[in-house]
Amino acid sequence: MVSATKPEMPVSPRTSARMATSSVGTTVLGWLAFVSLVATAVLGLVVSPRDVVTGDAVRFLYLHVPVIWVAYGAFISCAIASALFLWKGKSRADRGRHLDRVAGASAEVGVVFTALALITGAMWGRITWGVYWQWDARLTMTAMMFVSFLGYLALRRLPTEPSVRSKRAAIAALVSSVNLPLVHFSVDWWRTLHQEASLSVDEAEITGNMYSVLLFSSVAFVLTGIWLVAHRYRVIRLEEIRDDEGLELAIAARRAEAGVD
Amino acid sequence: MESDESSDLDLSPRTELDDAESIRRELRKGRSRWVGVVGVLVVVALGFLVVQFLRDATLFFRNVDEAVAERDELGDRRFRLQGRVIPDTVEFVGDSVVFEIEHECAFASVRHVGDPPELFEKPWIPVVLEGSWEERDVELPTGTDDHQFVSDRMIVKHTNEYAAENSERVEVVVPADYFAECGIAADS
Amino acid sequence: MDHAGMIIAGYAIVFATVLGYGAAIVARGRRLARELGLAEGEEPQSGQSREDP
Repeated sequence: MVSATKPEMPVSPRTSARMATSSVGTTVLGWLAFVSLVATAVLGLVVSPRDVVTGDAVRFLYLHVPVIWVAYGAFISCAIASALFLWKGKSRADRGRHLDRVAGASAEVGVVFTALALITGAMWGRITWGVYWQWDARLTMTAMMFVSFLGYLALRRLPTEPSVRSKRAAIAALVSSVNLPLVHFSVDWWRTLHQEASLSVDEAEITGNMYSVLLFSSVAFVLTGIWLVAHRYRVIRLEEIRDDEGLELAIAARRAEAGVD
Repeated sequence: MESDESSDLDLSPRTELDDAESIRRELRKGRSRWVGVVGVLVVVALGFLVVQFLRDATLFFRNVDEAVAERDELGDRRFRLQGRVIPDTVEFVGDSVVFEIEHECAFASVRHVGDPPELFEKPWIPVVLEGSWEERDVELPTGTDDHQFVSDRMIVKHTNEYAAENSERVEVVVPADYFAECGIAADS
Repeated sequence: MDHAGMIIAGYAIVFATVLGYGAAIVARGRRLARELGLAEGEEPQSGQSREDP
């Protein structure tokens, strides 16, 4: 992330090595995320009181809500990076490859966290509603969001020229992002089984310790999400370097062949 | 594009084959742009359709007042009914449970066949029931009614309110004098 | 704890997925770095990534 705006080629091995797996920043972030996740487990499973109506099932609150927030954040990051790629990508020194990587890394983290939100939601639903799944607006929209970003990730894997792939992916990301407001506002726009937004600005409907635990676990999962995106970004970058090197080797080989002839 | 082509012709190092190839590439690029535009339009249209579909289909449930008002149109059709379970009306009869639900001062008697979810026992819990109206005389806080809702599927609809079990906050979400507010004597 | 099985399973799934995903990313990054000849010893920072249990 640090060397974001640096031009891509040539990549000095020294820079790449640092980019390979970690930097001081992400190491600290990683440990912070890890420690706060452990604390979240303790707070959620032990410290949090039982809810007056749903009892221990409230412990799913500290997983389900933060996890879907990370997914939202990741998809928003993917959408912004994709929009910037289409708008400004060409005029950038790196032809928007940094933005493309941010979009790809964010989307993958978003998909993983949406899957977790769906799984924890189903388990929580089984306890409180009595059913794992119900085709109401919120759940249906979330499933649609999950599927469309899964499609986006698939599109990124289609073997084509990198610039073509990035552009296609960016368009697909923007189209998929239509799902975001649909998911978020579905509980207001339609009648759903799902409850309304958990933390509204004007009224705290979650009291005392539960509210604090929810805030803490949200911070923990957001840190984790940022850490994951940073590392996923680096892996994408390494993959690109590998592909470029492979291409150069192939070209060099062909040139050598032609030269010999 | 025309000027490009002519300039290509002027700069003669290219062979005829290369020209044909470059033109083809140019054409393909143009076409892929259109494919992109059409693709986006199709997806937007699909999204619009889905939204429209959901607007109709996810009248996910009817509240008690609406279900009562639309009783004639509904006939014996299956639909989902939402309301809060009135405490002290719950009675287990054989394999079914009979109780009353309310929404906005409208009441209905319900006979649910099967095991209700665990949280059903909580006072004033909102539930979504799947079933249909059946003719049967029942007693309600508002007087007698000639229909009962018979359901075979019950989902508890929990709200976004959480409070510690031992906090001073009272668990009854609907105030105790609710019946009085509805203009009904609180004896039932 | 009521529904202890379901709740603990939920926590286990979430934490296992997050840690597993993170570990997989780090492992992939290191493997690629090795493949590309960006040896970890070359840059003192690179080996200090968070260790996922």
